Amino acid sequence: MPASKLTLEFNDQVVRQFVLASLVWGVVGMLVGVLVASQLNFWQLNLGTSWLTFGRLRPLHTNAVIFAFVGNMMFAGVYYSTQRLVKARLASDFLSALHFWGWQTIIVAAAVTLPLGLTRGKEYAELIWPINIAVALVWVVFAVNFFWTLARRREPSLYVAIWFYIATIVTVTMLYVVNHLSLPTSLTHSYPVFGGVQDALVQWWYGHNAVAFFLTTPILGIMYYFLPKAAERPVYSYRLSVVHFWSLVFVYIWAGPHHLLNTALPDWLQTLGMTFSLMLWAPSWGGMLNGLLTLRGAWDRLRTDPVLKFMAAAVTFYGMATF
Amino acid sequence: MAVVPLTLTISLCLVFTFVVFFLREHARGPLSSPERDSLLPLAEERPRLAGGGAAHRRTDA
Repeated sequence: MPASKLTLEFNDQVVRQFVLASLVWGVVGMLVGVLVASQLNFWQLNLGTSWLTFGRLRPLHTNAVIFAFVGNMMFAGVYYSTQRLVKARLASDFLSALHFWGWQTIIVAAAVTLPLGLTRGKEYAELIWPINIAVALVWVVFAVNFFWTLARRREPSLYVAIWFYIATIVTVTMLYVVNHLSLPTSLTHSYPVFGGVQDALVQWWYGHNAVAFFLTTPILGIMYYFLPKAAERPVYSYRLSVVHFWSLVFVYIWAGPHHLLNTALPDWLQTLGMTFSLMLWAPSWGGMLNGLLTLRGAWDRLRTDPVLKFMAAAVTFYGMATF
Repeated sequence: MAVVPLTLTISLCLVFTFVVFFLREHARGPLSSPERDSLLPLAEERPRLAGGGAAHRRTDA
């Protein structure tokens, strides 16, 4: 049988767009952070307008850094690595562009509405209901584009990074939709469908797992692709990466109640949340050690390779932060 | 809204989906091995300069 030659052309344009957007929003989000931090000591930095008060700019800072800075970087990393791991171009250039411009529109809408004081009043879930619907729709665009690409893949086996991306897409959909179920009273105001302690539990089930499945699992997937590539050696233990994945996603989802200690939440539920938070230490360090040990035999390159330096620092700080 | 029935419903849907996909995957047999999978990020990639500079090309022989 004659050898066939296959040429793949990846969509790296959308990757570059997301990286550029991440850099721009990163600067904006961190500048707002510097401003609100300064306001804690110098109240005059309110500049005499309610639009720039701490209470309105603080959620702008957190939303910008989480959803704009990290979000755009995460989309870039997912799209870049997925195409190469499954040996297929992104399924739809139209959906990729719609995803990019839709996400930027949402960020601009957040940057306008939050200083105006339009908020749902829930941490990391401040955006008003019309923007919530836009977020859900754009996330569905991301999901369709991603799973459509997987359906067209030329590589039958799914590398562990893809598993982390799947967990991200599925779980964020569930968390975001449930915590944003609301009854609108006007174009800019709504009430959550939950009440009292149930509302608080759903909010922190979402809030904690926004950290887990928006900030952690996609970044770990990106680590499992880029760290072996930068170190030019396979991941220390592929089996550990699979155990790491399943233990992390199973344990993380239960830890939310630790945000509600000494509240009206039932004691057993507070204890459950605390217990799972402690158990989370093991999978977190499993991933951290798997990343660090991938550098075995390559530590000398940290002296000269800035990419590896940043990655080693990132994995080390992840380990310290989860201790 | 009752949170417990909602949580149970969503969780059971996820469990059902997991069981279906697991059985499907199990019936198909092993596609790969951990040793082979671990090498996927290291697959050779030879970027070439494209005219528009919009895409990287990857060539598998």
